[in-house]
Amino acid sequence: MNVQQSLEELMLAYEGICAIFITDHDGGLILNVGLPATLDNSKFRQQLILSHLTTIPQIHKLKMGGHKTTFAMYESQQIAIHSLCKYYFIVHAGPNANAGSMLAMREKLVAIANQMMSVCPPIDGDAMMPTSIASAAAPPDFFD
Amino acid sequence: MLKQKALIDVLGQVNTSGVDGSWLFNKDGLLLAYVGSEQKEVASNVSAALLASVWTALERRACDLRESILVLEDSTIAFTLVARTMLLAVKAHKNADLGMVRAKLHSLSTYLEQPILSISHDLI
Repeated sequence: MNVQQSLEELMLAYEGICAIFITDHDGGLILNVGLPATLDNSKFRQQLILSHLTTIPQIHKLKMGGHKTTFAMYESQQIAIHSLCKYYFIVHAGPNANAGSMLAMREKLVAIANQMMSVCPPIDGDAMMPTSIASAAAPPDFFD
Repeated sequence: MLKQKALIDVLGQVNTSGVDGSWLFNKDGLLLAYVGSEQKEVASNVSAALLASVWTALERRACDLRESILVLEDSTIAFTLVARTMLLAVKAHKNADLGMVRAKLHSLSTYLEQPILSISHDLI
């Protein structure tokens, strides 16, 4: 599966969607697909990522479970941010895009996220590390 | 004036079919009223402050924010601006239909628009 191609196909399948970009949980951009007019809008992208990262600690303090999706409807645009695996999938759409479709897009993005996880598992490996492997922080058995 | 008892009655009307909480608070996160199931871990005034903080963060990048929805593992929260100064939020069970949640949010915000505008004028 080509992730970029899959994202482009997904973007074109939904009317009104201008761009989809993927970032890690620190806000680093991983992949960016979009209509030509939106691709060089790095300032907008960075602002969007930054504002989202600011909201995440507040959302966790609500104690209503982990974050799945943030949807924001502005006068001139709509943004959906899906948390999947170790990534944020940010969907940027115009005001006429269907809000329900943007929220339901999460189901379609799961396959792409899983593909990315298989190609590039997280370095910290908190979800991938088998329990039989001792933590590097733990002292060896013979330590006295 | 805005009557507290009447406000609570109105907010409570949306708490059916999956919706189990509704807040009215200002943009600084100060709670005016909460009606719904008592939250065990986080008090309603703390939730209001956190939601106001989320709204402010989302609004920082574009000031024309109209509505936001947070889909979490256990609940869904939809919130919107009322009378330019207040925020109205409703919390629903994770399996509640989102269209119904939004419809309730919109009808409640429309209903509260005029009374809140009038107290905003009183405060100014």
